[in-house]
Amino acid sequence: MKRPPLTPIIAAVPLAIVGVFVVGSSWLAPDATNQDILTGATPPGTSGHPFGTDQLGRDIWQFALAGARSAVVGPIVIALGSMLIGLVLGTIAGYLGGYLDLLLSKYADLLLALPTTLIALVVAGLVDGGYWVTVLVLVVLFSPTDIRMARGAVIAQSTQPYIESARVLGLSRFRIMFRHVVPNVLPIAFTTMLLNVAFALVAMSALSFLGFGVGPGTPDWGRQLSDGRNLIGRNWGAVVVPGVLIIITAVSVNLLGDWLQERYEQRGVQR
Amino acid sequence: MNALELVELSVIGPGGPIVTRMDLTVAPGATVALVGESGSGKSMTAKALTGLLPRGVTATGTMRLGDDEVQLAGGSKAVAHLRGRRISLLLQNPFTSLSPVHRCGVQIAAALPSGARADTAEVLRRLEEVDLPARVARQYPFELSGGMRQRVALAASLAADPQVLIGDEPTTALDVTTQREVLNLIARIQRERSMALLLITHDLGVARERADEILVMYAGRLVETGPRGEVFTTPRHPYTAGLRNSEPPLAHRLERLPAIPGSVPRAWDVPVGCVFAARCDLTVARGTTETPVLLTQPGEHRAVACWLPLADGEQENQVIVAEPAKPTAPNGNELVVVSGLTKRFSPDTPPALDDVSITIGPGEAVGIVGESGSGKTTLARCLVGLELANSGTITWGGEEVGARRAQIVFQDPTSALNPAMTIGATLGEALRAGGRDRAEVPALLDLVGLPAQYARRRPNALSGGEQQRVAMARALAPRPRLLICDEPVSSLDVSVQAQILNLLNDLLGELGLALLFITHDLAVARQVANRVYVMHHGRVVESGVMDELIRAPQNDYTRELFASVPGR
Repeated sequence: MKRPPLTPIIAAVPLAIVGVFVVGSSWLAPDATNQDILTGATPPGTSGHPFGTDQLGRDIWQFALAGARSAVVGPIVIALGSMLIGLVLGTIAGYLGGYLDLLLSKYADLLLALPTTLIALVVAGLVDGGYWVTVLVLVVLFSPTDIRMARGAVIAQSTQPYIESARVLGLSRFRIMFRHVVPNVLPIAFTTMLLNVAFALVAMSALSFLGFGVGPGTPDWGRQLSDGRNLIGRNWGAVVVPGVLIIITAVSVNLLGDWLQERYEQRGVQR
Repeated sequence: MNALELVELSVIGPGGPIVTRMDLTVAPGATVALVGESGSGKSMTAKALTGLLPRGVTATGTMRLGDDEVQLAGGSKAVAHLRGRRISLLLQNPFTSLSPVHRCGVQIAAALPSGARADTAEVLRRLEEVDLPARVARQYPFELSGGMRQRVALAASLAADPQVLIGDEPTTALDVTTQREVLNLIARIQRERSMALLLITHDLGVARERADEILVMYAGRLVETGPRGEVFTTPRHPYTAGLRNSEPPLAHRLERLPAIPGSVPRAWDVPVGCVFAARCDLTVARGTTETPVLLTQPGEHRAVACWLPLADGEQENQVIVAEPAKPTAPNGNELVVVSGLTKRFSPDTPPALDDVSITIGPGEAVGIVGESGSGKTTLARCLVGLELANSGTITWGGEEVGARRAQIVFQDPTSALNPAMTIGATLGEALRAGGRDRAEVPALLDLVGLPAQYARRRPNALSGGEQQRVAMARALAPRPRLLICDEPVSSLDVSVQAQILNLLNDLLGELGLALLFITHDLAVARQVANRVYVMHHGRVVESGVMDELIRAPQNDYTRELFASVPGR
């Protein structure tokens, strides 16, 4: 009997829980944004508040639960959006080659040379922040690695005998690209995307932490972490809860991505 | 005392047993060949003996090297003090077994006994032993040819003067002429040092030519052992007989190669009964429930694991020699005329094709024989338009254009099929490309001897031989007038190779298409081609009707090529 793989299980459980948070936050955390300024910050274990409350008297646990949505949805959109750009531009560059390849590769190199977080900060500051503006900026800034990944994978595919057979059959370039090349790039694209979710999660949280991203009062892990800094003496839960959630989620997504990548690389070896 | 003695070696992997209860002995100076097809467990045996098993794979059993006894269950640590010193391993691919970033001299020095590592003269002496000039010490592996690299690897594995050398397909990646040189070299060193050699190979010719004793392995078990003169001449095990019979002869062309049906199972898929039962004509009821053990035959120095051992001459190859085909004289009606084709990949290297001219008539089976670097593959790629020649012309007769002119089958069947598409989708697409209907997929599968249900499968659910059949079906789908096969059987097992060659011959008769068959293996070319071109360094050095060329080769290179074929 084969031992069930441990890594994906370890990674999937926290991700499933976070998924429940995202979907059911309004039901699981109905009092997330309820303020009680008179009580203010209380330590963990205070009546009805397992992790205490923050400065405004909001329950730390419920607020964090409600924050899962903005923490997770943004990174997923970023990973999906940048992969879409990467696949389209990378496939064009890798498959068609020539000047188009040169142009797109230089564009990717240029974007790669930019300090991602700093640019996001500047743009978010210029257009006065906003969650979706940050997401959009990060989509663009994440795309060059995806363009390169897709381009490399497409070039590696193009020399495979089955692509050459398709050429000998006289199939159109378009058909070869979408029927033969792209489907075989998708598994790598998917694992890269998962790893990007983890990077984007941390980047988004960092931006929120610095005051960009979500508006004040919106539940968000980065923002909550930032606000909780001043309370560390009165309620450690205000920092630990969002911090630990960020770490666990990012690590789980990373583990899952690594595992998938490893499996994909071994696919050819053990048939 | 034996140089190497192995008692009850078993290797267990994550899927189940890989090698089951194997015994073997090699006397000092002797050569024992371990022969088997892919998946028989022969390489895992070599890895177990040197403590190099991959993670998740464990071995049990006892190994004795002279006075030293090792329990293999101890894994890598148990063998570490002997590996390289008493027992050494020479691998198939000298390009991956040598470090690309170190000079060859350094790599040999690192393997020398600790006292001699700084001794430059010793390194030079070692290079001399393997017939390499001193300059090689300062060169990197990529600067050397495949044969020279394998000599460096040999010098490194012999550096600590082991009593036992395990060669795991040591010459499989080399051309036949180079193979002969390296095997001669190993034999000479073996004599000088009285070193034992365990030669692991899939090539029956090499085993027959070089070994004192031959062990035949199948699905993780030894099925037959004996002296080299007897094992393949009077085989006792039906598998040994089948293996011998399916090997194409060079001397004549057979009407049909006797192939073993099916493909080699994985060792862990045959938990009970005889490992060969599923492919055997003579299976007795006992064979499916009880596993035969390797028993020494009364009055013989040989052993066989079979409930119904063959007698002398039983399952003798029924040699039905095919009628020599009548050569077609050039009549201005050729399917394709290649004239003065020259292809240069870079101005600094010699041309891959140098003024090559060939013709193929309609329905004619033409062979191109050559070693690596001869330009044979480049010629095929030019014919199907995957490469553009620098000069020369390719003139097609007939009205067909595009996909209906020529199709190609490549060497490696696994990468020849899109892993993301079902077999049905792949074939359907090829049919459409030739203006035919997708509904013909079942008929196309039937043509290459596969059941219609295979249309729903993906390539990774098929064996190598089945994948190659699908690749052939795809090439035939647009009804091309010329089928080009570039080494179509060289990555297949001998028993499967015979099936594919038979299929190819059947198809030629049935469909009346022309064939360009490209191979390094003369005996294989013999079985399909009527006319042959011999290529060397981008040029056609000799051409003619197959039978005449085999009988009386004119060119020096052709003669050397013939002489190098092992075990004939």
